[in-house]
Amino acid sequence: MPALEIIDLRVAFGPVEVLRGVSLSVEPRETLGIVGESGCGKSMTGLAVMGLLPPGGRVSGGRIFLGDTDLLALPERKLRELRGSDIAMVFQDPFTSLNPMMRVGRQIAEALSLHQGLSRRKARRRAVEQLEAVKVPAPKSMARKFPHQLSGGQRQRVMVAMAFACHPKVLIADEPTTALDVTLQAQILVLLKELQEQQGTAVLLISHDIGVIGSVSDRIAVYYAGRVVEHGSAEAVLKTPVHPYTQGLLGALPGDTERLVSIPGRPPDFATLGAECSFAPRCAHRFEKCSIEPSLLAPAKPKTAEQRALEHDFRFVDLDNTEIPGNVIALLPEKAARKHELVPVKLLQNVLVVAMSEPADKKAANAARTAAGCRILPVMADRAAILRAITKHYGGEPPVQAEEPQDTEHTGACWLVQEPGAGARETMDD
Amino acid sequence: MPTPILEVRDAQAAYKVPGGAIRAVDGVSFDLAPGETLAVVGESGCGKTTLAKAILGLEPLTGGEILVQGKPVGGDLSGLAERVGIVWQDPYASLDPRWRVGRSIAEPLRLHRRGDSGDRVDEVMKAVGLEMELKGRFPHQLSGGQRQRVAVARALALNPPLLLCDEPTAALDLSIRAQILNLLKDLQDDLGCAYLYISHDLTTVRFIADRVAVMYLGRFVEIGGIEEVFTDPRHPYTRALLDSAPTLAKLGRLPDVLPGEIPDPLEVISGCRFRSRCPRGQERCDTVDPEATAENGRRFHCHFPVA
Repeated sequence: MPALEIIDLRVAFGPVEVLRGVSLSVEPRETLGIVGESGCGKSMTGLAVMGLLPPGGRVSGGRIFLGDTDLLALPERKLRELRGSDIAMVFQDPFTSLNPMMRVGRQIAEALSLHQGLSRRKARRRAVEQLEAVKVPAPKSMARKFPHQLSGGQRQRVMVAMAFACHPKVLIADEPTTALDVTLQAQILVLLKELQEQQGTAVLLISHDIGVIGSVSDRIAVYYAGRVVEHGSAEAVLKTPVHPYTQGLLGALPGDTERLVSIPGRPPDFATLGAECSFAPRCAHRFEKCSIEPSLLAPAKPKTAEQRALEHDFRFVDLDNTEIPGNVIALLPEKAARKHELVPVKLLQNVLVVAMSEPADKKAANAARTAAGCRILPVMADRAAILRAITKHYGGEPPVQAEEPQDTEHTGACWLVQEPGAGARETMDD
Repeated sequence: MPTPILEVRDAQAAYKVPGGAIRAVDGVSFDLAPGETLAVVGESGCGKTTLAKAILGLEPLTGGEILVQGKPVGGDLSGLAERVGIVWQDPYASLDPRWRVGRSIAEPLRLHRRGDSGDRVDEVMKAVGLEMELKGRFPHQLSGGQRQRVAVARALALNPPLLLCDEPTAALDLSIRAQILNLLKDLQDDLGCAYLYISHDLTTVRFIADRVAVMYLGRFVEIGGIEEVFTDPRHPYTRALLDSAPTLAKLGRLPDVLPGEIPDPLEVISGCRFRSRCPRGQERCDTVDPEATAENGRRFHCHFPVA
């Protein structure tokens, strides 16, 4: 069972929906990375789970399950019990989320005595142990310091210590390293991973930095305008992105190229979103279908030659053990074949595989074609060549003999996922 | 060799604080040629912004000198703005919220009594890709990318041969960042101005700079051509910075960790300033501050450089 499951979550401020139906889940020990630009709703997701939406914001639909507990159905008192124990959160800025008036050891101990009912003394001892676990130097004296006496890296470690103090099932880390320098960022990411593995925590990592997301996530959800527009394994999303927005984000990362791909325009205003795809105004691939916003779609599996043939009233037949007389082969409806007295090779249900010789019977072949509205293929020596011929005839990729394993989990909210090349068709055709 | 736009000779700048002085810039030397981009990278507190302020004459030097187009910076600052433009990190903070875009861009022209500023405002707005109708808008009516374009336009209004950019894309979202980076590159091709580009973001730096200087505790610990430094760093701190940065090439791998943090800047460090965090440190590093080693146009301070 997932540690956290979010189903069709919607968050609104007044009449304006800023989270427009998000479904996600995280398993224990797994890291789900949420990436997107400012205002895309990624932080709202974390805050909604914590029940800490800013004033004016409310969950307007959907459900959130922590294990099998429906968080949205819980009274505030029960939710408060879970917060800090079963679900914990690490924020971007430790300066604002730590109490400046309280020694850090006491802040950690507070959570322990509140949630685990430890005595004050025991809680303090555990707090020091916790500080030791996050590898701050001299944990005992550190516990007696105030937040302002700590360096930025130490403060963030204290935050991590607090978050993991009660062994949470789910940790929401919202831009945990954004305020940090690159060497400290690396330290904190490694620390988070270590504690996650020790405690078997499910982590929801929220960041605008694709590099950070890519280095620690098992799966990735890409947010745009309050929705998940792409979702899949980290490798699938980053190496073979399907949504034009994800492709744009990755192109905007400086690499070896002379120019960066920039996405024109800017994210839409939530108040004016219509029925069309929210990315369409900035999308280079838009086509007719984009006037309707797509949900997350899985790529349609490429059609096999057999499926294509079926659509046209042809069947693909196994020709392995068939000696083909003559040098033209046609796959015809039985009636048409019989009518033109073509030499039958094999009868399969109501389709007849026929052969005729070329060019003598060309006329007969043409007649058959006209009569049945079917096509006649030249004879090929082997099965693969016939397959290629059939696919070439009907367009599309040659079918693969052994079915390629498909990443069925990799989805994108874009019509192109199911109709690859649709938006670019004009330029691709001759 | 053309005369450098910017010459920095053993520059030192210190802040007096209770308990001593913080030597934010501690002996920095480099030249910047016309049309060239030098990136200065380092972590917060390494002194990179103080260096920028010193070049702008906003922070007095306690030692050494800085020359812009051969003229020393300091004392009388009039005319310096015609030679050095600046783009700050946060366009929200660097633009006056009560001024319309047109006025902000025209301000340096007005101060320097360049007549007929209207034409020039149109010109630079066009150069940075801003539509003319935005001239009457206030900063809060613009997007983050547009605001940073306004800041770039203002910096370019006097057509300075040198532009300082202090983390110009750090506050921007990724897709907008790409727009600004492309813009800076195009502007340099068109106008031929030199950039001193200050950033903590290594990936951006590699895209935009010709040379890079790595700064640690007030000093350039390594400076050299961008490709050489990125592919073959000699200073262990440069190596550590490159290893810490999460990139897509390292997909699914945690970054390598450099232990520790920048030491307290008040502390007077004997020997090498990086020794408290250095994985290669030896006895000599504790006592002897390494001199600069020059090697194929590269310079670094390390007794035991990375091979």
